[in-house]
Amino acid sequence: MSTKSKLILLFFISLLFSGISPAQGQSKTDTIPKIQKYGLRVGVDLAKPLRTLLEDGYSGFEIMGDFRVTNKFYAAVELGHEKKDWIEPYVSSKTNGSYAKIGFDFNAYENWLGMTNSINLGLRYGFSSFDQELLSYRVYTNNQVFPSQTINVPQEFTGLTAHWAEFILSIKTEIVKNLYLSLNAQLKRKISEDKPENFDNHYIPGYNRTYDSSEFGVGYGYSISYLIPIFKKTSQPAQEEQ
Amino acid sequence: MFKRIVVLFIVVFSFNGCTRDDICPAGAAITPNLVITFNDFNNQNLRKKVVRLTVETDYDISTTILSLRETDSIAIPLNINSDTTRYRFIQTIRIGDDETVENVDRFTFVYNRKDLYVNRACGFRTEFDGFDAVLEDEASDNWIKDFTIKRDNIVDEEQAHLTIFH
Repeated sequence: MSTKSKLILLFFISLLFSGISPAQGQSKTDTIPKIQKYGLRVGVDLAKPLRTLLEDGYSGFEIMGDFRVTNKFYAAVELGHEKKDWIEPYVSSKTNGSYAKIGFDFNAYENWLGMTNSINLGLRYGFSSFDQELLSYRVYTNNQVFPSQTINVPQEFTGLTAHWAEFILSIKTEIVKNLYLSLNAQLKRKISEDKPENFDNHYIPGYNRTYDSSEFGVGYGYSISYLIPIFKKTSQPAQEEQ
Repeated sequence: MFKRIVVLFIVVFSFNGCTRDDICPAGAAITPNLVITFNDFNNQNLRKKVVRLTVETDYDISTTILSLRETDSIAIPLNINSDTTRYRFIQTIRIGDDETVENVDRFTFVYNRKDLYVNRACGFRTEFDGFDAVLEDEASDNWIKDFTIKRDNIVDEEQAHLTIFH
């Protein structure tokens, strides 16, 4: 990444959080060693509880944690639970289940001295265990003589699983000491899923909605997390610069 | 590299709204109709047109499917909410210049239904199996002399399921 685009990114991040983040000075000279904090960062997703309050037929939560392994790499995990009614014109269904995502984040952002923001590129393996309930459906027919009636005979399919790979892009900003706000976007690809007999998964917890025409899915998250510092490493700036 | 990834994300998210999933396409596998062909009773391998054929459902409130049509094959719907469908097959015969007489024959079709998932936009389709037909016997008054079930599984409309001899 060129210096110019780095500066542009930095500018936007500081613009976004200019109201809350403490001013970052660059007055210190480059000879001062950088102190890197290592620790366990734990957090909760804010978007899902908000949707639970505002959106009919949805409830969910997610907790996450990451642990800094090396200067750039973090081991990361997300655990969550979602319940979602999925209404299509001809089919209504309900999904209920838990999921786990395990992987790593790579911090592509070169911080200035003292800053611990990050722009992470991450990979996850996602796994979900869920139940699917077909609430009602209609038979599609184009004849007017015997129009289809909605059939309200719920069918439950339990013990379904799904696996997917996920690419995650997130921006984390330290708003006060050790407290981070994070925004992420997720691109997923299904690896495998159990399909209910004579039905389909319209929604998979953790994966989000599915598409008939593709194996890809998308998602987003907005979370707050706290870093529990465990140890610090000092490194000479000369070693940090490439 | 990083910028490319961001662009990829933006592209994926912006195209996410337009999917084929929302509309049930015209060619999709939907509930099949019952296909009937009309053959000559005396020469049973030959198609024979019914000159004025009217087909209507045989209920308190009946619906006309086709009216006074000259045809040797028809496709009519089966009731997807019941295991039987009753139809009146009416042949209108001209006697004299302005006079016609109707010959009404009644069919009851019986079958088993199975609803099969198609996709999220179309929902389900119904397939029928164990199809059978019962013609109300009016002795010599039936214009339909005989019939034969060709296929008792109604899953498509490619060939006749029922052939009527007249």
